[in-house]
Amino acid sequence: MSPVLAVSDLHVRFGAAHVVNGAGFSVAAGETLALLGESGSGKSVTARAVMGLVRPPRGQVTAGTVLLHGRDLLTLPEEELRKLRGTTISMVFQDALSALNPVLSVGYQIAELFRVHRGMTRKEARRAATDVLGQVRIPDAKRRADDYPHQFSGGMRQRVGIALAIALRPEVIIADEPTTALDVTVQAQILRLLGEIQREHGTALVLITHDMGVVADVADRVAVMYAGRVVEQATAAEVYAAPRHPYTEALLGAIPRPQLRGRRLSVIPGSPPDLSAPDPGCRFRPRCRYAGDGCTRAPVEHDLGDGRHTACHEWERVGSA
Amino acid sequence: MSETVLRVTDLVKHFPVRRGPMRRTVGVLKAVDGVSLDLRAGETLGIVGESGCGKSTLARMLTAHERPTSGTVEVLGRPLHQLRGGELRRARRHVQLIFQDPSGSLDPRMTVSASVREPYDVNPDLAPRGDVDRRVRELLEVVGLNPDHGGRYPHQLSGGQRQRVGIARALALRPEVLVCDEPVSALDVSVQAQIVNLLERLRDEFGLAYVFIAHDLGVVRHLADRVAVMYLGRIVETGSQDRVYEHAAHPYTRALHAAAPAPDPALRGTGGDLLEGEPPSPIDPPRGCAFHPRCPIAVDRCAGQVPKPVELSPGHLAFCHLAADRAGV
Repeated sequence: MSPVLAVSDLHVRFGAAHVVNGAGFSVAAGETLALLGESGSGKSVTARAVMGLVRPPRGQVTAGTVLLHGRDLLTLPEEELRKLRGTTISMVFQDALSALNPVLSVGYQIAELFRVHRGMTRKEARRAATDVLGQVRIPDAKRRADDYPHQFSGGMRQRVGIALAIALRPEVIIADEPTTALDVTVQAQILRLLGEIQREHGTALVLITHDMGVVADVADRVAVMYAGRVVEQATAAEVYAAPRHPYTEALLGAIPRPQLRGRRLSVIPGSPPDLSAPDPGCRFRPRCRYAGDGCTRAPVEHDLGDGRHTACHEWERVGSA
Repeated sequence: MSETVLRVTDLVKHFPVRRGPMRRTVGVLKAVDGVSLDLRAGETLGIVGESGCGKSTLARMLTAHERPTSGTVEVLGRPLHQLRGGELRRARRHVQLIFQDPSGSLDPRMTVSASVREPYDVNPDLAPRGDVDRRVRELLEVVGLNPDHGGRYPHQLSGGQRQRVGIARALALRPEVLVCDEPVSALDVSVQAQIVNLLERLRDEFGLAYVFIAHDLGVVRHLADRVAVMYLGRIVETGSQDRVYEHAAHPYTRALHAAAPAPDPALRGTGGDLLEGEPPSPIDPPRGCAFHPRCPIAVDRCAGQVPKPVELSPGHLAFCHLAADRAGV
């Protein structure tokens, strides 16, 4: 299946810091790709760069391509990009409150999308907005459309954020930690909702998260990020059963599991690298149990077949130690 | 049977809700509404629940940061909230609080060493003056910090290192009990594992007892001997770790297990039914069993009567009218 969105060799700098260093991944229609990483791995910046939200003077995309149906978003003029945002590619933020205007009712804000992009009249747009709020299972949508963002609870607010993202039926949704601030029972509801919408419309979903449980629960494929690069890409089942990158292996060892009770969890020694002084070799080398002399060179991406990739010189030894 | 270090009986904390220009009291927020528990030396009690269930307010009452509306907290047999002045200060040493965000509890203008030294300055009888420097160095080492971390300021440390400083400060007072309020929730997985390991090691080395509060069921299971599940200010189920995880009897506990994503794709979709809605406000919580509006199996009497505990096996209690009927299933 040909990908809807294909990102390759993306580089982003914030001043001296090389925050994203050659990140690449792709996602097909109807597929959920989890972009998994710890804080500082560059996963959120990658998403913002894809959306065209990284702009000078603060940050700069220095290289790479972001192909949406074969068109490179990074070379499109801002005017064109604005037309695509929301209609073809949209984003759900961790905190919907920061994505919403506090002084406008949520119904108005969703209706605005329909008026601007679809040329609907106020009345039509208003009805369409109420429909979308219903689709994200907000009870009593017609009345709640008049409410302001602060009048919604955390879970309901996140539903509003999803409503904004799906209103114009985009082909790609990028969700940046959409459930991180929510309680588990509410998180489960939101993840189920995202899954249902995706299946219904065949949307490609890029789910950015640090939560290995969430990844195991909903992702079809996983791209693991470390120090601004995707170090491993595979199906969720493969990643959990047999990781092919030392960092993925170490992460999996660090989550508590019932059978590990009474034993110490495995930890990753050292700390994440300093992004302002990038190491020309493998960034994970100082913390890696498999590191050898060859790791002073930057690893190439090994294609292991079936869409499985790893950026590790020693990938064949992973799992042996 | 080892000695009970902490005993909590019918603990209640109600906050008045004030509105309007005259700050009139218009309602009561029942943050903690009748919690009883006990903790033996060297034991770890996990407390799980969603936001607003009262677990942080409970933590603050256990450590005398908050006075209860009613009920008692006994530390080594002495009722904490009847003590005053010097007596209270000495009793407080036995129970120390570890916060979720240690940067909020560390003075940004104090070096790590100065922060860890502060408890000795406040309690001069803790160690002879000449001994303090050595003790501070030892504490930093115990929690896995280098001596040169001692000269740094909180903003120069990572989240995990700051949490270690918070733990070192608490240990300075040689407590019997550490109350940890979401100590690893803000940390990355790999750092979380380091702090969890540290807490386990300290438990073995110093015989500490923990009250470990978290919303992450996996971490609680890893550490806790016994678990209490809270919902809207009350404990709804309590028992040994394996009973509460493998034989959950309260529908809310079951729903929590169903909602918690397991870190294994092979278990996808095996969790069971999800809850609808969100926890109601602790201001005017539902009558009867507070969980009944969201409960998939609620019957008429759940709305009318507060459920009494049902003992399903020794030490395994569920506060549910239907638990006894379902236990046989």
